[in-house]
Amino acid sequence: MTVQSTQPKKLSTGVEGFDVLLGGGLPEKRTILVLGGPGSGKSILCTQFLKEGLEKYNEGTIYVSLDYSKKAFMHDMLQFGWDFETHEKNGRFLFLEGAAIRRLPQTTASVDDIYTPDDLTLEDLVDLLTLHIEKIGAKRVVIDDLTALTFRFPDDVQRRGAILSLIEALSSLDVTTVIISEALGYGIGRGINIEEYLSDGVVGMFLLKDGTRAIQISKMRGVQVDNKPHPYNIVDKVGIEVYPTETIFSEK
Amino acid sequence: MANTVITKSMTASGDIGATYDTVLKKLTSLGYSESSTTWPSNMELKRGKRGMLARNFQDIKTTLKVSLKQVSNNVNIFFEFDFAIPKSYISEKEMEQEFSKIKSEIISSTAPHITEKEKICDVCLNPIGVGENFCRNCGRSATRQKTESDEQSNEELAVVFDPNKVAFGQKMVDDALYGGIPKNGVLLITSPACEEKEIIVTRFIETSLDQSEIVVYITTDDKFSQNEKIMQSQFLYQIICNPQIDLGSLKCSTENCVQVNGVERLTELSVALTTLLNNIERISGQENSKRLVIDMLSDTLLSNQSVNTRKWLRETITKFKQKNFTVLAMLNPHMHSKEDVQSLLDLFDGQVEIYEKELEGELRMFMRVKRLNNSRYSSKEIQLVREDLLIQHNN
Repeated sequence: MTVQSTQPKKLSTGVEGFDVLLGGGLPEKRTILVLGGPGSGKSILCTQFLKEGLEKYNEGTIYVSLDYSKKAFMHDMLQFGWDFETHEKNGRFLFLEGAAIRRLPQTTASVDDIYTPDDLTLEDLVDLLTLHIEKIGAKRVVIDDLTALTFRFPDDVQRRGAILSLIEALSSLDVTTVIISEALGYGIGRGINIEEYLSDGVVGMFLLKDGTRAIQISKMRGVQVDNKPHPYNIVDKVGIEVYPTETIFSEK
Repeated sequence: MANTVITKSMTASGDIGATYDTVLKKLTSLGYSESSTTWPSNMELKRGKRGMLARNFQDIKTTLKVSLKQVSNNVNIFFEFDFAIPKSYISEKEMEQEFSKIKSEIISSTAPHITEKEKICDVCLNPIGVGENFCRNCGRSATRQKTESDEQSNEELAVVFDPNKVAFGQKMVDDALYGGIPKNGVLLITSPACEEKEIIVTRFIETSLDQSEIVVYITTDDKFSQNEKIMQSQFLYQIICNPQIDLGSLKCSTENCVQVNGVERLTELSVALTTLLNNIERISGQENSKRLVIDMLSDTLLSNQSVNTRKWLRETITKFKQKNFTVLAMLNPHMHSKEDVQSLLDLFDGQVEIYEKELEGELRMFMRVKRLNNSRYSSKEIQLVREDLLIQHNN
């Protein structure tokens, strides 16, 4: 009798040590949440994930930004030696800039529509993504970040419903999506975001009291992962570097 | 096929010329034949003809070099046995029996008659001349009457040097450890802040560098900044756990020197050590013997408490032992509680204690090997004299 593996196909993230923790990479066609405080390197990690798809597998990729301007993104990533402008020119990369998007009311979403973060509903975002994913054949999508989208739902019930709808919609898009969100503290006793329950995987990136950076995979549905915290660094010309054999000695 | 070199030493009382003749006579009776001699200080003898096919111990092709040195009323005798077979084929028991025969004959032939009323030096056990109150050998005035146990102590001076040990390069330390730290072993020196300890540790590092062996040195200060021999060696890799030190002022090569933000951030230190280990492995391979010197253990214990320090130390030792490192660490026990010190001791294969003790109204430094698991050592108390250490150091 042949036993078929139930493990989903893995997508390399481009961060060698992180792939070790993930047992090979992020599970394909799932929605993964990356949590962290300001300056923790969430955007860098996610950009490395896109870069890996672009440069190693020639996959189309999309970066949806709601509070990170395209100019700043291109500039910041060039510091690591990552030239996304060329990928954009080649039609394999698309930067959807929420800050510059405006949408005319009562119209159907189209590729050329423009939104502001306040106007952009979660449904609009899914419509927009559906169009672009098809257009460039995208396999990897990053949404940076969810907090900006969910601010308009102060009520937890509404917020949960909206996020659940978004994650369900993204799951049907046949892409692997990484959503960035802000973390509510670190360690046992930290506040848990609603989206953590709803997504397929949760990765936390935290800055500890003594300045040590720690990455922890707290959830990855259907996949065996190393869920202990491990140190990581943001390294010039490299990006995120995760040390999967190292231990965190710091006070949480 | 690799030869095996085993060195041994002993001390005999008497004149160098007479001792030389006694040694030569004894060795000849054991089947050694004279190859070359320089009376009264050196001789080279040969015995046996076979290598792996030797029928017994006496049949193994052996070259024995003996050197003698007169020190006051004593003669220090050094034996270097060079066997034409690998170490694993040499019976340690037979080797010991052979050396015991040589030693007992020489001691019985050369030992002067010492009456119970005669005095000996409390430190080096040499006889003190009639009417004299100081030792002509070591210059100290610590004298006492000779007892039977001193005869036994004298036996201990015949030290076995094992090529599978990592030497300090400091004779009295190496003698006490029967050659040094067992290769790939982990030794702790517990000591208060003192120059004697610094000399021993410095010598340990220099000995390694002299032999082109890599040393990884973890420190919180720049104590070697003026020591060009150490700082400019391509075999020294330093991890400096102190952000205040200006790396530019050190004379080390920047590739070999890594600075981290203090001992408080053990994770950062651990990552730096792993990165360094990987680089060293790329450069030198894993086979060569290497040394790790941890000279910031007390700082680490003060900053991180015993739980985290123990965890970090255990991981670090494991990591380095896997890469063929022999580890030496220093701890000042006076800076910590007994419980904190105890929490680290079992991570080490051995412990050497350096301590202060009053002798004739003066505080002096002493050293004693407290334990060395699965290895021979002398537990005798040894007085550490700065000048003696420096002389041995420079030699």
